[in-house]
Amino acid sequence: MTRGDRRDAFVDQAAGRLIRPYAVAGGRTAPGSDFHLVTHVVATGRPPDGLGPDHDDILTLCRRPISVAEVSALSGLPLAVTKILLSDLLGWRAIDTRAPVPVFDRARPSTDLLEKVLDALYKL
Amino acid sequence: MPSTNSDLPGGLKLLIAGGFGVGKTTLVATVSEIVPLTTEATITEASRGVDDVALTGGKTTTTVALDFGRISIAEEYVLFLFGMPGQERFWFMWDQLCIGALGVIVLVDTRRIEDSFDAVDYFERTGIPFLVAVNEFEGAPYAYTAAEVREALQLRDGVPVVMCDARSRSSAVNVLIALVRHLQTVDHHSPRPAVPAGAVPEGSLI
Ligand SMILES: Nc1nc2c(ncn2[C@@H]2O[C@H](COP(=O)(O)OP(=O)(O)OP(=O)(O)O)[C@@H](O)[C@H]2O)c(=O)[nH]1
Ligand SMILES: [Mg+2]
Repeated sequence: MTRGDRRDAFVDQAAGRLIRPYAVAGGRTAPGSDFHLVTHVVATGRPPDGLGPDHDDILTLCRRPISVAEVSALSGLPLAVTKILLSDLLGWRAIDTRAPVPVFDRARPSTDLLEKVLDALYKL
Repeated sequence: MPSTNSDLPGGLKLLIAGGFGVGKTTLVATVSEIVPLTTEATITEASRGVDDVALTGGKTTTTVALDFGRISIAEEYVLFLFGMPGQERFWFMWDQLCIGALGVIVLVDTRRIEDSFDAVDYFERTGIPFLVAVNEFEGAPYAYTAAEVREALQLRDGVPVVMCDARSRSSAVNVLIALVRHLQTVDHHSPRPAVPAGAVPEGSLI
């Protein structure tokens, strides 16, 4: 199945392209705050039995460490649907996650972090 | 849910804001180590103030295509650059995107400098560190200087202005370097977008 086909599977012409994914995802709405655009995920190598095709596709993308944004882009699934499916996989312990580097209210990003970013940019 | 696997890279986020056709996607593509990707994010009208809004009941929703690229930072981190739509109807999602972002590049086209007034207002108000990058299109009738752009945008002292060509790798990388240098010196005690307790949230940006 190609990306284009996949995408179409989630488009409901009458309801618009949003409602349908939520129906597909079992009527659930936005998962909690476990997943952000730049949260990283990786498969644990313990896939649960009987995964459906959507979960399976996503888990395949997680064989190497990958961000939530990339899983969404490469699967062709909207971010919302991607987060729900990842949430399931996390619940089944089929993936590990790492939260984004926190850049909190009033917190200066660490000197060390900014130095590393600069070093990498100078090498580009 | 706490972060669990510290073998995974830590995600970092930079944003590129700017008006229609100003060169955001071009800039992302120029510096990214991958061909830029697109994720389709959705936000609901009601989510402006409320976090976990059910998407049922036909609430007004907006779907936004976010272009992004990535730069690996050693083995430890990955820096993601997201192009943010600059049109007025998308401003309500900036709050969501800005949370947890290191900083912002406001990309300006001097042929339509007024297109960036609102972005500058927005970022000055939220206190998120930003710089202004002037994408120099050769068709522009007049080559503005950085000082003239600063004047036109009424920028606060300390907000850097850099000239660039979004199509040139060295020039685009210089913009990123200027932003990170700015982050090293900027006063981080100005107000930032409020972050709810717990993990870094993107709230209802789904
Ligand atoms: N001459 C010149 N053209 C540029 C430059 N940067 C971008 N362009 C061109 O301007 C057009 C718009 O650039 P994009 O990168 O798509 O702009 P954008 O800000 O992502 O546009 P939207 O996402 O549609 O708002 C493209 O045709 C680019 O090739 C530049 O520095 N000089
Ligand atoms: Mg674009």
